[in-house]
Amino acid sequence: MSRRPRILLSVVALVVGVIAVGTAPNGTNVVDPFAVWGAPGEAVEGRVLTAEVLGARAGSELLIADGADAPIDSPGVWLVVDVELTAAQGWLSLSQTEVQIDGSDYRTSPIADDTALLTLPYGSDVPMRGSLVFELPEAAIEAGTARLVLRTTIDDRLDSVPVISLDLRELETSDEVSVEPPVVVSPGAGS
Amino acid sequence: MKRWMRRNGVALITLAVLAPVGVFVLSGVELLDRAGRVTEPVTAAGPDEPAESDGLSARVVNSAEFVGEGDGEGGNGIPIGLALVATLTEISADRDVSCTPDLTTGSGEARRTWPSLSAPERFGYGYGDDTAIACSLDAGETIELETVFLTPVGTYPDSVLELTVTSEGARSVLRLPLR
Repeated sequence: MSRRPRILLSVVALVVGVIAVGTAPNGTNVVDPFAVWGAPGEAVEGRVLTAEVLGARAGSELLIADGADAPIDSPGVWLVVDVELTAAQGWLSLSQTEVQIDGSDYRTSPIADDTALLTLPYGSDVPMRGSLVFELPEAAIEAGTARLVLRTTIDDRLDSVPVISLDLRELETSDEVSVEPPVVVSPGAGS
Repeated sequence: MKRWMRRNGVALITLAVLAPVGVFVLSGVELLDRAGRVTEPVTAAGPDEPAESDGLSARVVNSAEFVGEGDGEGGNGIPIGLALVATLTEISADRDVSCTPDLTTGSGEARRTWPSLSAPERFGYGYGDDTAIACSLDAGETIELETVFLTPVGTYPDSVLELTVTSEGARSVLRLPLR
């Protein structure tokens, strides 16, 4: 090989090396979970959970069925996401689920723990419908888009996680949003 | 090209070996670690035989599937496409033990589990009068444990009952075929 192609080859190899090093995952995110993306109305299938967003609502007062008689005020906004969830393998907890908006993560609100759909207690392939409740600052809603990340465990390294995009501009908004207890539905009932 | 290969072949082969090794060290070790987390010893019983472990002997004496007919008029309160699976298990203990029942099918990634229902009356099921609904036994005691599971229709023929037994801090699993 003559000198010029060798130099060219070395330069190309160096450039490829720099790009590879620059874009390689670092020690933390090399074991990040794999996001399985979807939109409302689609069944998004992760390894242990299939999730479908049926709708999303927002309001400044939250009325919890079977809970407090009076609506609960928020200085910000209640975001209620209606979902159908099906566990693939067994009992699941959704308590690590979060909404990501503009680089901030918001966990489900503990105020509706007894009514929100935070566990799938029946096991594999038994679908449930219910709501996830988040309390957000008003500015977060104005961000336009959000990602609902349905995490089932604190340790989801290298696992697949359903992530559903929400268009916050298309939210049903009213002064009061209500949350009903979750129910078991027939498999394949659809939205 | 041949000269170049002679000079750089060893380096290329080294890279070809080290790259997959690097990927394995970064990711595969995590996966292997996760796969090795199930540690309880499992004792499987044959048909009509009791399984014995950690001072506890258990045998399924009866089971049945109740297929869902929906909530409407003439329905049985179980959603269509789902079924209740009820099991009656004779359990004896020669020391104080407790156990957690699960219905399971398959193994490995194909393993599916259903915990027992805490309130099966929600789906129209009523417990028998003389059966136990919690698996907690004193030494020398014998109970008939009645457990109910909500499963997709068709799960029953392939399922087994697993009792995760806890005794003096140790855990083991009894795997019982249904009958």
